[in-house]
Amino acid sequence: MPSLGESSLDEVRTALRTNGADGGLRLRTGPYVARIRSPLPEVAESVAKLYRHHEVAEASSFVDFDVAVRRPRGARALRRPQVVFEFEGDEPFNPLPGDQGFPLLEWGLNWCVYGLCHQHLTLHSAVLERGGRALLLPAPSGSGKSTLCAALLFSGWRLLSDELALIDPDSAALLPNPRPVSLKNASIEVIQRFAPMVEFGSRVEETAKGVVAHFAPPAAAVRDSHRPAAPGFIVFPKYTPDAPARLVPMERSRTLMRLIENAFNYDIFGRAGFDLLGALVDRSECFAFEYGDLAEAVRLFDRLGRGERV
Amino acid sequence: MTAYLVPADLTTRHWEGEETAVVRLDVQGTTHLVASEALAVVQAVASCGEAAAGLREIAHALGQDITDDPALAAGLQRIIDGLVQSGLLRQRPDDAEPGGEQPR
Repeated sequence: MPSLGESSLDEVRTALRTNGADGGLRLRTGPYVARIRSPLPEVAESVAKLYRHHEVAEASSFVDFDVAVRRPRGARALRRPQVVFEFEGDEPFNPLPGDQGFPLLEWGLNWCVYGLCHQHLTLHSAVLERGGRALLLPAPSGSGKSTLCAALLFSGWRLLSDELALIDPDSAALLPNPRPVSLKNASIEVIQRFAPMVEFGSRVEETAKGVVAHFAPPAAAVRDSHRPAAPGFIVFPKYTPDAPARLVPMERSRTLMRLIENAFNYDIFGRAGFDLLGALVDRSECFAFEYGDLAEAVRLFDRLGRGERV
Repeated sequence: MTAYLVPADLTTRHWEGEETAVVRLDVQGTTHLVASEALAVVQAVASCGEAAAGLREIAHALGQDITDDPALAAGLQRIIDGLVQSGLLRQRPDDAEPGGEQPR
């Protein structure tokens, strides 16, 4: 199937603007197909740029998420510009300021994955892979997870996801779902310095999370979206200014508890989720990780990925 | 004598050499991190089979003799009380035992 980058910006705009059963842009992101519609030019530009490596799914493909980002209808549209996210005709979130269309689309797609897709156990975690072994970085916002993930994907690690770990319930393998990588606030400049070649999309100020900017996942990561990774490492990162990079082995039982805390649908899986996360822990080396310098952190993970003692 | 039972829906994960273990109650859907000493008490109660175990039996299953050691007995009782409070052990009341209060 063709990638979106083979379409012109006008073709992307037209597809996103077209309504009706065959309208919208069908994009394959990992195991899912999303049908996206939006009449907003800035959303079209960001989709065209940041999903350029993604496969355009056939018109006959089953659609997992039918979503739209548009201006609100009615009187709201007459006040200051806003955008709403629509899922199968419903609006699950409050409107956001008018320039936040693309971040809203990304947050909405995340919500579709963690809130609606229970064929996989989903964790709030970045996932990368090297040498066939997955590296999970489960952590809440503000821990330095996204910055570390972004730096690692420019340093020999394959990106599976910067935000959501999808665990196959049969094999405990990690399923790729690479989408535009989201960075916030100071992390944007940190990664611009770390990887000057990176091309960010629009920088959106004053979101609920501060300044947000995305960059496209590497073409190779998108191309390898069909290739799962076996469990390898579970690392809980924590950014502490000036702290030396340090991996500290972590008890597996504590690791299991932290994974449960970071799981979106553990309750839905019940006992099967407990067994599945236990199996993931069984097959992984588990660490707590503190770092203050990104380059030093990347060097340490390089050694970890090469199988050296760290 | 108060006797204790392990809930039928309890599942545990413990990795050898670790100081903690994870215990799940399926019906409540709760998951708990417990000290390995507490896990040993749960396992001791479970080893008594379907018969509820009292403090003395639990100590025996753990290889402890509490007959002349009130401090040891109190320490064990504290662990049991914590497990009961978390729902990881169930208490069978005295009046449910033969010889206790009879149904009217």
